Amino acid sequence: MPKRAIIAISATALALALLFSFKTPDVQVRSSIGVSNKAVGVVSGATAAPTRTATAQNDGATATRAPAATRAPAVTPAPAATAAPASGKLKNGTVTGPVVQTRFGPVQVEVTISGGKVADVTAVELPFDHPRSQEISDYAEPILRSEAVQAQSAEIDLVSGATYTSIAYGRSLQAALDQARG
Amino acid sequence: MPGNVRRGLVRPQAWSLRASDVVALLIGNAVLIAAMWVRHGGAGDLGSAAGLATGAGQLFALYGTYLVLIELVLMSRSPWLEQSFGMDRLAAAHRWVGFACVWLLVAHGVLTPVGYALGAGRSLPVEAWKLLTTYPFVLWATAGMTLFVAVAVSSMRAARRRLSYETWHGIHVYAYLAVALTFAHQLVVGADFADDPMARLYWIGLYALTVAAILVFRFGQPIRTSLRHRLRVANVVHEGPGVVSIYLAGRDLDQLAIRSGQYLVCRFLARDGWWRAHPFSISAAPNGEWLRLTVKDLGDDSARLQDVALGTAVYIEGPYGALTGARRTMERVLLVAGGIGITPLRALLEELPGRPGDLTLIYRARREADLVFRSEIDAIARLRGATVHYLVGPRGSWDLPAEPLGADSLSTLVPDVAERDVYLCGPRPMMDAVRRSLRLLGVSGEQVHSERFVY
Repeated sequence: MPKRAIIAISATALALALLFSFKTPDVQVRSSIGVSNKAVGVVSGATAAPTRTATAQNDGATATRAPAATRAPAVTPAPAATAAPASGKLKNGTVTGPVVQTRFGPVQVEVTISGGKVADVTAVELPFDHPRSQEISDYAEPILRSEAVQAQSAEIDLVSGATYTSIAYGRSLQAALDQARG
Repeated sequence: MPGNVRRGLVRPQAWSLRASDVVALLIGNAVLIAAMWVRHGGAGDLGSAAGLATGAGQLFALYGTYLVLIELVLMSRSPWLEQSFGMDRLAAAHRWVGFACVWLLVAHGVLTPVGYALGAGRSLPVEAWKLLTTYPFVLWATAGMTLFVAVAVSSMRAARRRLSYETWHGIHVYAYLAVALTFAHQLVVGADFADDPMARLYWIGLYALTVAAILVFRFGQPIRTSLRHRLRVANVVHEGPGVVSIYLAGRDLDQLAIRSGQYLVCRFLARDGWWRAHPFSISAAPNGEWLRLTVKDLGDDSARLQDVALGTAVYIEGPYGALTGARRTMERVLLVAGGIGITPLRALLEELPGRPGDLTLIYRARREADLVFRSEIDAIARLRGATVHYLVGPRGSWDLPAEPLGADSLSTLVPDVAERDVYLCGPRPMMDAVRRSLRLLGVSGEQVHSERFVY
């Protein structure tokens, strides 16, 4: 019996050593898109816009977060926009909404308006602190964006499983649109 | 006559915690956990398949872990639990709760990845791989879960029959490792704890209390008791076929808080066998100078004890056991022993207070040779005015009633049985039979005291 016990204990120690040597990739990297907005303040005016989009993309390229590629903002799903814009008075340019805090982290969006319509919505910041938040943000963001562009307003459906993020996204977007109406 | 209790012996400490307090505590925490789950959005999205799987997975994880902690406390040998419930009921609960918690944790391990996969629109294998490789400590948790499953499988009846006690116990110890491995991912990944410092504090608190109970009661107290009293084998006496009495001597035994009806879990520190612990009732009332254990060779490891060397040091856990005079509710007492189950009752016959006529012993054995302590019992009975009935022989013997421990037989032997406390010890079928008879005779459950050894 003791011989078997010694074998079992050695095997366990070896297995634990292997297990502990495994490291998950560091997830504490902040949102790739959210890095630069810190300097801009909570609500940036339309004037700051054009350059910011570019820097945001650069940050995205340099940040280590792997799945960033899935959200490449280059391909704007250019709105079919058959529906008339809600109240037609949107000024062209880019407006950044306020940071809205959720239990899981901050949410902030940036709206690009061209021809008086919502042409694109980019998430400047989404919760990315935990791998689960990251996963939710990754799949919720494209849905929320296309919903917003389609609706031409902040009245968007909640994405299932991403309730908090959806609500915060809508609020930041609403504030940005209000600002764009001046 | 005041019975044979010696003054000056230390009595076990009585804990003020009642069974109902323990139950209230358990339910209170269960409600708190459900509230936590709701507050953290677990129930927020039960309409969709993804939300349902994720939410349920989260709830099962919480309750599975809660049950794991209960499991540990149940086996911590905490005197405040043992006193209210008895070690046999705790062990039965441990078995039931053990399987329940493993089922819940397995459900969590399946549902959570399924929920995440559905939500993200990925296939299950891809999602599972992502969880294992990119979520911190999920790989550890998966290893821990595998150990939990191994412990459960090794405890299923079919497996238990094939495994030796040592192998089964060795596997069981891995449950501690599993608890440790699964802890980290809860705090870092768990939806309830990653973002809520209060919840995290509460959860860590539950773990800390559990670990404290184990360290104090399972390890600390036995080590202290063993070092204090330094028990050694002083004498070994053959009592009958395959039955020996082992006399233990040590320091300050008048300070050891043990009473008749209780037992010690003993490890005989010899070269072979020190890793195996046995529960043994003391078979004579404690006298402050020595303790006597009586051991039957059950064909397993206890065979070795038939010729344990004099002077062997003994590490003890305990005393445990609620089959004591403290349970008494009536003036008169009936003791019913089956086979080697006589050991605690032999000590009680000596110690329980009572006037002549108050104490009756029924001692059932298959063969005359299996009646141990016969001359001792007769001597005590004469001294104390107790009545003893020996029921010897296989069932159906010409000189035995058809049901030796049936209601008819018991009421003939002890006509006033309904006005007695009944202390019961023996093999399980025998105890079940006696309990049935006593119910028929109108003896309430509160009057019947019994304990099975389960380790």
